[in-house]
Amino acid sequence: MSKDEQSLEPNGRPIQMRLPRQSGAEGRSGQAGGLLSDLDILERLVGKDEEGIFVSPLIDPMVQLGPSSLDLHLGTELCTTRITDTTHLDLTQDKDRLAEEVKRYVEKRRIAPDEFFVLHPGEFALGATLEFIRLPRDIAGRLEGRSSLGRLGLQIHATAGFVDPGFEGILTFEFINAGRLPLKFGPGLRLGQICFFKMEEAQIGYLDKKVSKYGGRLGVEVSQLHRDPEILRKGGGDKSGDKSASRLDKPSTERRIPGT
Amino acid sequence: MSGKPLEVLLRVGLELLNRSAATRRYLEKIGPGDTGEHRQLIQTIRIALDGVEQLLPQTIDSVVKFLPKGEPGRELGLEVLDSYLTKFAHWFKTIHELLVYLPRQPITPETVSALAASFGEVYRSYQPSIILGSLFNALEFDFFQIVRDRLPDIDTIVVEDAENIVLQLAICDRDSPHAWAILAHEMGHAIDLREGISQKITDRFVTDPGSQAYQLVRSWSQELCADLLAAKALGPSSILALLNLVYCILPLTNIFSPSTTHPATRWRLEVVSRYLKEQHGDSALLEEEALFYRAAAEYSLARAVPEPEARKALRALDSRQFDSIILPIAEELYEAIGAVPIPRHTTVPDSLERCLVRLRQNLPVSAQGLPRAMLRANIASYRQLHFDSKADRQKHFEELVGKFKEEPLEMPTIFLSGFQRRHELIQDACSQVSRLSEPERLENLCADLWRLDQLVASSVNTSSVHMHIRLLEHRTARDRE
Repeated sequence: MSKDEQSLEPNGRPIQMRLPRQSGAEGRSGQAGGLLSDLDILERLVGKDEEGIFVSPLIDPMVQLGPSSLDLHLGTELCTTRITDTTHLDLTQDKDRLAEEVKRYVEKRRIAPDEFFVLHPGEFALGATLEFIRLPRDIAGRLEGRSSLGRLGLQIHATAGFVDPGFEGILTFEFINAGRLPLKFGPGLRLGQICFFKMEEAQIGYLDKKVSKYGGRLGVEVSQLHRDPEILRKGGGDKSGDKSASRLDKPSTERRIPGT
Repeated sequence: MSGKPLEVLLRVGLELLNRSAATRRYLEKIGPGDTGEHRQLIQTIRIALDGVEQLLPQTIDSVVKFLPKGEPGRELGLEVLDSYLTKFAHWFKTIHELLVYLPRQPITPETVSALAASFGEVYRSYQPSIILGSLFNALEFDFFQIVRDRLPDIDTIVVEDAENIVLQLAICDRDSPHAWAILAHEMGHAIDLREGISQKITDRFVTDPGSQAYQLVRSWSQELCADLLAAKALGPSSILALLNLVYCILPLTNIFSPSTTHPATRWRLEVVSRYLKEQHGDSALLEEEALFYRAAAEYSLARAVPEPEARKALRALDSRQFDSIILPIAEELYEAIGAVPIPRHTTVPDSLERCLVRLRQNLPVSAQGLPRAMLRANIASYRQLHFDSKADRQKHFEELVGKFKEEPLEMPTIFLSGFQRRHELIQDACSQVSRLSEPERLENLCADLWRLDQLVASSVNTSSVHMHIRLLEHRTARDRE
């Protein structure tokens, strides 16, 4: 308990308090290494361009905002695994074959706002947040599940809950139903939460990295493992890039100001 | 040649290239299929498309680079470019028609969401089927009528309400929200058919149903009625979508003159523009686009009718037809449209401007709350407060948090801001014509337009989910009461 709060109790006398903590540098909430508080998050949500955290839509901030986190909703895109005749995924093979096998292994699905999806026990699926998120270079995020859903066996990320500074796009849920009963859920359900960490400004933001595979995405994306440089080295195929990509479809992660 | 022929031709080239890229993306979505049965067909179509995508920018570049400054060499150069674009338009139209041999993808859920949100209860009462078609156009028809006409002897075909409305979108436009807006016009046709608006107006103007004049007035008033219903529900976006489509067929037809089934697009633009100006006061973008479109139509006329005197006579006829047929029909329609129970679209200039700022930053535009500057001021005020107790602090903080709530944006705003951004990107590129002709520049512009399409589609989707959540909240609150 802080000194201010301790001085509130003894005789019930109203005490003039100044409870909200002042932020560090002006307009930049939180201290390096620290977890952002509710007020810090609000301050960042309206921060000026380069400093602000962008999260939209904010459907019900009263419900979404926790003491140090912001709840996120499920969007309408899902990616489930298909039953195929592929015996295994060989992560050491050349990139083109790996990409093709991954494509055959997963299936993208869309659910309408009033439809539902059933995740069976032990089943794995990818989902996307309804919210589009953009982090400044001095804020990292961490996606976590919600306790109420975890208690029912729903895990919302298998391994990749970390959000790099400079990231923008929708976040991906990696669902696993660890319970014994199928779970039925649909778009708009609050399934996860994100908390934010203040850090020193990164020299290279996520989207400015040479290989940033999932930035700028507006829908759920299947594994892009084949774009890893080590996969390229092991493969004997074309090393100049993805053959299927046209010159007219520059990857959305490529940083070019529109109109130039 | 009159107007701005080079700018017009570049716009035609851009719209063709953009739709060509969209078709290739559609092919990628189909994929090879598990059995690979369509692999060869897809491969063949892809090679043809690659040809269009590679040759088109190169051709524009090489022609524009060596375009002489003075007449008549310049005119000759433009004719060369024009003839190439005609060839590309033919290629693309043919390739698009070949897509009928491939498995068809369903339309995206956003397409339905956009129309359902724009037309409200009326849309739900029609429950149209939206399908993708190989024709490079958008259509509306009653499927039940077709079946009954073709199988007249089978009396047992009975559909509950004897109506099966189909809205058809070109395959290449599946993922392009800037093209979905045309479906609002097709939806307008369906409403007109049921309400009998254009029928009543035609009967008022021409008495003999067997005459050619009757058929002409009927067809033209049907089109104008559909345009106005779309404008009422979705604002200027529907007619703007039509313009983009017309640029693609400009090399193949004379877009200046009306046909027996459709009034000239310039007239339609003018009728919608007047309606929006009078009823909604938001036709600014439409006016800018109309200005450019008029130049394109003049170019098309000059191309189809080389003799200046014949052109002059056609323009005079055009003007007479507009004043004596189109305007009187439009006046009648303006009144009739008001009574149709579809939501009247609203777009707030301030809200549109904020959307545009977001789209410029590559961000989606699904929801809006209080402006950031206002929220910043609220936080600053909160920080100055002194609290009497924890409860007092909680109360003030909750008040502050409540101000961050965003509401879903209406479809007309999302679409119009998308068109504004599209217009901005094209204008920006066209302001330096010589640079636009560079292949890299044209390709970048196509990539920007694709990203914009994705942002708008994603915004439509998110806004629909957001609206659904609000609807459920509303129902829960009502049940509690």
